[in-house]
Amino acid sequence: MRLLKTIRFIIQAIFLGLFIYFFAATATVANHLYINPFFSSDPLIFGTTSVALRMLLPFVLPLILILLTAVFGRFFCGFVCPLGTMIDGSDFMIGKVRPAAKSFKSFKYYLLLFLVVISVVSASLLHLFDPITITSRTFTAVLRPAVGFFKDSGQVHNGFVFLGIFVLILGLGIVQKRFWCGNICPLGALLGIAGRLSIVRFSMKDECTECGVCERVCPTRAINIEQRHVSQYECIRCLACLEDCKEHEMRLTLARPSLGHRAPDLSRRGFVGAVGLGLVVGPLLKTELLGRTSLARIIRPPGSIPEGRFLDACVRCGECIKVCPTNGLQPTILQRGWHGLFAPQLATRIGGCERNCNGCGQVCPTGAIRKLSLEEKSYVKIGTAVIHKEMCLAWEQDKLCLICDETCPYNAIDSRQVDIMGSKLSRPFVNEELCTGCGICESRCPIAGPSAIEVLPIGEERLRSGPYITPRKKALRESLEKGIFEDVPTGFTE
Amino acid sequence: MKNISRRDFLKQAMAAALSAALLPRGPSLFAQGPETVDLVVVKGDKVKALKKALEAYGGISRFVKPQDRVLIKPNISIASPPEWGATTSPEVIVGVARACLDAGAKRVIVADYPLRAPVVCYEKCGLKKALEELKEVDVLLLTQERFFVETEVPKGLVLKSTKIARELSKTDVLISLPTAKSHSATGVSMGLKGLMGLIWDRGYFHQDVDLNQAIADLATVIKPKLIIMDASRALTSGGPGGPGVVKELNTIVAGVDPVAVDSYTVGLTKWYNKVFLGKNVKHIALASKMGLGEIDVGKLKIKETSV
Repeated sequence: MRLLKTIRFIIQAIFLGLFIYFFAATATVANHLYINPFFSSDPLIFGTTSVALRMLLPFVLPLILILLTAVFGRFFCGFVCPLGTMIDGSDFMIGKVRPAAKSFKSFKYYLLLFLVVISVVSASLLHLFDPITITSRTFTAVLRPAVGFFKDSGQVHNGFVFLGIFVLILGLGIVQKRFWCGNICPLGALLGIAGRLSIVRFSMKDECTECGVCERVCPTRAINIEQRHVSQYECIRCLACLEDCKEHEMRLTLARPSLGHRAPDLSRRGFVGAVGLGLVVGPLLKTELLGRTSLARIIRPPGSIPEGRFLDACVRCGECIKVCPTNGLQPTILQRGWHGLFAPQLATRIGGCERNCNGCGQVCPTGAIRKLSLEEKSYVKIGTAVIHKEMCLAWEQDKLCLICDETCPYNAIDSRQVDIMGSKLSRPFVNEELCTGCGICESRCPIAGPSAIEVLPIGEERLRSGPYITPRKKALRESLEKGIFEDVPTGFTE
Repeated sequence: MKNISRRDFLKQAMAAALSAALLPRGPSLFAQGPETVDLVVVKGDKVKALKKALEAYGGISRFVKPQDRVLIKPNISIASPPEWGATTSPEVIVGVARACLDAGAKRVIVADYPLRAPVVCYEKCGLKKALEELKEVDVLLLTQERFFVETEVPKGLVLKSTKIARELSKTDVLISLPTAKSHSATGVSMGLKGLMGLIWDRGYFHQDVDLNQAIADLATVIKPKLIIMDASRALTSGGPGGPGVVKELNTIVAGVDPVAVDSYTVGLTKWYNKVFLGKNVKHIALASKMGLGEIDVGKLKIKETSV
């Protein structure tokens, strides 16, 4: 069976390599950007986002995966899933683990149920437990900055949270191999349900001696040797049974799917408990009880759909954060409560939104950030800049700073000569109609500490659909080209 | 070198001696002809005009010798297309780079400090595409402090020292390649202001000292051998980033006197819908006062042609 094991290793390596390839290929706006196909194929992302948004996302790729799972069972877990492959790697480093006494495999079904109920009732949190988004979040927050250490690779603030979660997941391998896959992963649970009738499966030959080795080594406890039964809900095609079967009695086979197969081991209490908890916790997620949900000074990426739907559609994959060329997009932690956990915000003091870039919308897998053309994106207002005059060098200290005016890509800051206590100098003014809240001014303000010009969500535009370009906005911009002149700068003498 | 008559030789020697005697005027240029020329101004298509301007000096080999290391300092600090007038035209940058390589330069680097996301600046200003045909040119985006080294400014009135691009110390020929544009603080941003693209601590210039004097001080330590002003377009308002009113001037101005080149270009068009001369721009006037060049266009010998 060494051959099969080698093949599996190679296939796992190929898929992990593919994931890394797509991740790296869409890491900079200098490249052609697209959505990582792993997200597009994920039925958990498809299902939960469609339910939460009450609309049908692209379903072809997830459907193909489900159909393949119906035939081949949870091959995705054992051969394709990047988190599964990394867990195999860390399990290997941990070494032999004595199988735990108690089994927790039912938990993942309760978790899936709980999360589905929450997303139907109010908010979606499924993405936090989705292995593909966990992998891409961790890569963005931890791996990419570490690898790009000597270049300008973006740092993700509070990245230690993602590292901690990742280490925790891998660390569960101390308890049991593939602990996450067998006991927690809701995608695994979903695929298990889809694959219950799979016809390409592993089972025992008639000559099996029922020694029970396979049952002991199976990480997901899929095997019941007494009944000579391999549960297709649990079997992740990891080949551990094949490897350890002394008599070589385990084999790959085509089985006749028989209905009336044993359902996953769920108790009525557990079922009711999961649903009940979901009905209770769901609505609570959107209240202040579990953290601030309103009045937070959060700027969302340009093209973000309205906030409620945004938080349901955003799967916290971290792609927008990865691609942002100014490093301005950063994850929120609890600034928007638990409902907003890990969703992206534009941290304008760190980096503004580059006018000639539309990268975030290109890589967002669910349309939480709309895909907009470069021109249309430049018309999206995400906030308005406000000058704190008591901090500003030009207003308060009579200095010829005006860096905000210099860097504003929309010419929304005018420098006008204002006489303050006998000192007639250029001072910056924000033109609120032209200002899109991009925040480049805030990121370049040279004073120490908080910026003297700050972007607030005043006037932000969040359109679910429809054009951001309006005749009025266009006319305003064009008037700039035709020559509405500001005051003459003080760099000239009279 | 062709044989010249004794008369011609004496004429040239006298001219040289005279211009040396009139030193406060700043450096001037020896052209092919018997007269000296301070500025070469060529009107027309920018690529052809650039070629003609270089020819007027007998080719760039007057400045770039074989095995020289060349640094070209254009303006690629803004992430906007060339039509917005905020950056140097990519065709002009490539034209100069190609000429340097043809003259035998060992290495040609294009360097600037990007004021916006570096990768977007490089692409939007058109340089990335233009350099696809000229792969021997290196581009250095000065994005990190380690690219700079603390440098004394002995003649500085307000600037005692500042961090300047390390690459300059490994450079034999610095060619300044500014674009003609307005600036919300300094009035205009051309060759002299453009030298700020080679320093690290911009905040210091704006916050702690008089910005206009600091620009003049900087010009005492960074001295390009040649300044070619890309005045094919002029961003006459809304600068330095735009958008604003762009005027198609279709002019290339070249010279070795940084004050003269800037001053002449100021006079080419209205700024903020008003007429200004070079001497009306504070930082240019201060540079001239420090002896860095001639600000009065009337005193310059200018060769004007067109293509």
